[in-house]
Amino acid sequence: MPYWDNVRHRWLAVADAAERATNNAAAAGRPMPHVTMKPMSVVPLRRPRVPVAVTGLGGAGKTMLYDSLLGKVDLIDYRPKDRSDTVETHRTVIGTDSGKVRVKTIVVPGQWAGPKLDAFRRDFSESRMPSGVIHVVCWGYNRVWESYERQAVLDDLASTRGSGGVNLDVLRARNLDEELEDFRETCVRLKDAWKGRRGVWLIIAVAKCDLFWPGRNLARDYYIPATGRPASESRFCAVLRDLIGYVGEANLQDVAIVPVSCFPETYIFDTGIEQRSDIEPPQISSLVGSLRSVVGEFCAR
Amino acid sequence: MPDNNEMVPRESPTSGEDFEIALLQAESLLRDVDRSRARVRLTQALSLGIPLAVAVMLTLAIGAGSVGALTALILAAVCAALAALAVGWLQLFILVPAVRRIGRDERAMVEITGVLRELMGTVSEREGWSASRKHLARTRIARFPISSRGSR
Repeated sequence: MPYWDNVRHRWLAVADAAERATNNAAAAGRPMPHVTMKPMSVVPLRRPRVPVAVTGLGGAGKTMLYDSLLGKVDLIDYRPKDRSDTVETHRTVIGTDSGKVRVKTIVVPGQWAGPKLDAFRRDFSESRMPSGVIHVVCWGYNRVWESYERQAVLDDLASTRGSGGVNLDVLRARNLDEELEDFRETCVRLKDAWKGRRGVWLIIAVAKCDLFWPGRNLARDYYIPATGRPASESRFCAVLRDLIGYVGEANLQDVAIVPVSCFPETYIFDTGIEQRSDIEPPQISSLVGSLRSVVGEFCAR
Repeated sequence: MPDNNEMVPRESPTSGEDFEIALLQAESLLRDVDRSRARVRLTQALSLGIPLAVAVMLTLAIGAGSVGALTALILAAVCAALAALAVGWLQLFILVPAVRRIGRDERAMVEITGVLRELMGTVSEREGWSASRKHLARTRIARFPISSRGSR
């Protein structure tokens, strides 16, 4: 099956499983083998074998995503964490059908600041590179953390469109541009790290899909390149193709682009610029379980 | 009656020049914060060093000379009082104002750079910045912390 058809097929499998998930039979919708992820003991006796990095623009939900993979996010009662201003390090044991894998994961802060650059310099070099990267995107629903930052964004958008011209679509278009620029920069660093390396993998986790579940196919076509490179392809696809062309399809055989949601949370940017969550908790559990399966599958290879 | 959009004059969009002025201002604050932090570290070192030096010198002086117990006690008390005065003065007039200054400047700096990080993409696209200018601006912004860390 052609490269991108595989990626698209996996997206469809994950989305179908979530669609089938119900309150009584969440497990029935699980499309892949059961995988567990748990933190290693406080005093680990063995060193982690697989280095993994979680990247993405600020406010995409990287910290929550990894917490969710570890089973730390309670869908009934969870208080989202504040903005991460340092690199978070996790030592995790992933249990798969073929055994256990010890993984060291770093969650790189999204904001362009010292911690992010340090992490790129230290962990994305030829001598020390991640075997796998989970890059988190969110279809333009990034959280802008501080109220004065949100106001500055609104004021700037209003200055070119008029205050009545700023709506969710305008804001999302702006956020998608930011997300693309961040992905482009991440790819530049990955090219350094993965040049000529075999057996590396990439997962693009399209997070917060509870906010756009009915329109998820649009997101799928934005993030997953089509076989045959159509002219209307998104700029994101072009950047992704460029990375894979540089690293080599043979070296980067494992690529997955999957929808995921960790927590049903209404997106509120400002009065009138908001979007309600549109899926049920069992579907969220199914999506997280599917992503966990993909991570386990890739780490175990 | 004119609608609200016409009554309120539309703000001009953030320009590259505005961006540069704000970034220069933040860089100036960063220099001030770094200077204040160095002063705090020096003051902390002196606050430890002065009593230590006084104690060592006192021990040597008492050990070397043939002073009586009462004289040694009075000498020690006087030296301790002087050392405490010196340390108190350092804390009150150097350390506390420096820590306050760091907090104030850092809050302003973090707020300015937080806004600049959010606006850089739209400003650079609107004004058609070159790749090297974007890279330079991003690298300059990356020197700033994401949140205040106080006098540490």
